[in-house]
Amino acid sequence: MRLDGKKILVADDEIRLSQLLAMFLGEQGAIVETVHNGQDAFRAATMHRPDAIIMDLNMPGVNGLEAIRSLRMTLSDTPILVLTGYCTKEHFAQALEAGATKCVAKPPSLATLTDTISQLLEDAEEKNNSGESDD
Amino acid sequence: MREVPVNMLKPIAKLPVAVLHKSGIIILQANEELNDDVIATISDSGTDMVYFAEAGERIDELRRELTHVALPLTDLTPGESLTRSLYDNSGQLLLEEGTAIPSNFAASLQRRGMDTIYFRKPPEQIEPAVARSLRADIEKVHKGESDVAPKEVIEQLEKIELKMADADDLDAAKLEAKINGLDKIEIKPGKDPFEKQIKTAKERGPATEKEKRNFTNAIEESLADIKTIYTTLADGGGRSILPLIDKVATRALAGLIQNRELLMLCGTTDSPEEYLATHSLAMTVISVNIGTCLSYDAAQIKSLAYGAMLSDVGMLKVPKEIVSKNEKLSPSEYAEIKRHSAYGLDLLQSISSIPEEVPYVVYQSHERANGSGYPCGKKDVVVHPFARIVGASDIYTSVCAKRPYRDAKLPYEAMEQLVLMCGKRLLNPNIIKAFLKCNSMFPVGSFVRLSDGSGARVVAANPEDYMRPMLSLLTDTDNNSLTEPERLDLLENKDITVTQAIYRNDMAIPDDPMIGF
Repeated sequence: MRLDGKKILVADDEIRLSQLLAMFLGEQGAIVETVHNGQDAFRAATMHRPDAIIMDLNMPGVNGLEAIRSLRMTLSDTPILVLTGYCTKEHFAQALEAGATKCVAKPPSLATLTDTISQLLEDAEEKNNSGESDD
Repeated sequence: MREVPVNMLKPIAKLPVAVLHKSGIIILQANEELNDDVIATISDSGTDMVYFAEAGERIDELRRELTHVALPLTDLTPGESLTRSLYDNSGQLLLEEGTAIPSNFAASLQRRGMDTIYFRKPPEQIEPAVARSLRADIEKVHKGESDVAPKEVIEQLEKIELKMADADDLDAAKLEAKINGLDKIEIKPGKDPFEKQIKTAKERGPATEKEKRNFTNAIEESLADIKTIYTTLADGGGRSILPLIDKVATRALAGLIQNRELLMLCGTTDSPEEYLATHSLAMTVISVNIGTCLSYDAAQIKSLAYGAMLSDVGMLKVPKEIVSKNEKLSPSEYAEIKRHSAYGLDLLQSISSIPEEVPYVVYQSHERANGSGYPCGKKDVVVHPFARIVGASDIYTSVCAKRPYRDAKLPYEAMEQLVLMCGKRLLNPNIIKAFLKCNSMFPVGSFVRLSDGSGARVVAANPEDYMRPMLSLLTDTDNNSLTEPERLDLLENKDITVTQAIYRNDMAIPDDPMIGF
């Protein structure tokens, strides 16, 4: 399976959607943790070091943009995929500026989601490997 | 002669007899003091046993007993070549190393009434060099040279010249107008970063018992000094207080040079009774640590220490019942708390001369990067960098402290709050990154659970990776306390990660506040 053994953190305050994503990614072999606000996302990412993070923007307390900016201070390489209902160019640009790796409109087609996540994981791994060979 | 293991030594104000090292060298004379510092010094030298002379015992006999091995004459085999020189009971050389034992040797000694001869123990066994340097260290302790850093370091730090504020800048109204009129506040790090003088934990290795004791003493002294500073200022006696402020600042800088991690330990205080003083000291040590990571020079770090120490001085003018209230403050009470920034400027006027940065820190440390702070709602560009540093230290140390209305939070939670506040653009990320460099995401001194189940204490940050600090393992994977803490550098052990921040009480470990360091 394409996401075999990959740890993925899903942060979305729509509980039904995050459960659905967890189920779907789980079927692809991923180990998924779900949280529902930005602060929990930051803590889960710090303590559990996911291979990738899927992040909603509109969350209570610490929102997605704020969580991404915070995460980028400590975890520079973990890919962060923003999944948002706000799909204007401005919103996407804001998310990328905060440090998101890629943005996808909500609701995503499940095929697109798998492709995007796999691609992000591959890119991260490649970057990581090339970084190591530089040592 | 009485053998006493070093870990059984108890303080004695005036020794009745001399104390010897196994090399026969006297490390303490009769009438000298055996105090905790001396005991720690002996222990740090690696000595595990000392020897007390007994009343009437002659030191030279005692010395021979310690340094020589007796051998019955009957053990000598005539014709055999000696591997070591032989002595008699008065220390006279009988036969040199390498000589063959004459056939009539034993008989001639016996005729002289001798039945025992002696070998000298080799130096590597009795370590006279250790004893000599130990004696020198003990003399230093007796002379009182046991501050956090060597005397010359402290003398040099005392000499640092600070640029003092103009008289105008000590007039609260004029100063307030001046600060509020600026459209940019910038200071550049000096040419000679103070951080260059600081050894890293890796270069230094674990702290000695003596060093830990010196730090404990220095922190207690600083706390007492800060209490004096605050009570003197509250009584309007600011004019005489500058030397004492300088003493505390100097000690903080000396602590940074000697062991910045031990210094950082008192940044997470826990004393609601003496909150103003402990909080002031905590802000000082955290601020100077952040300051060094931003490449400021010694004079800049010193005035930063002054500013941090005095930043809450305005609280002295806020009614006590508001400051120590146990419940949520009413809007008018909160408004009064916010006035302490301006009150602080009034109080500074009573100090005749103060480094020029200090009023900025006192007045601006509660401003926020996006302009949502107080007293003026100024954005970062018009807030003095030192005020931003002290502002961040203030939040961190407050979260870590136990307050009348809540328990102390985990240092990790405090660090998390700072990083999330950067995400919300309330704090400047460069300041928090500097803090992460010396404290890591899992703060120095805090306790953590690791991915393999073992428990550890963070003993130093690795500036290369905020998530992989240097640890001391304290418990094994079954939560059993280890007999000796073991160093574990997460930077070199990438298969292990921190998975949880925990309270000290979550581990069954000895009650030593500096355990692991």
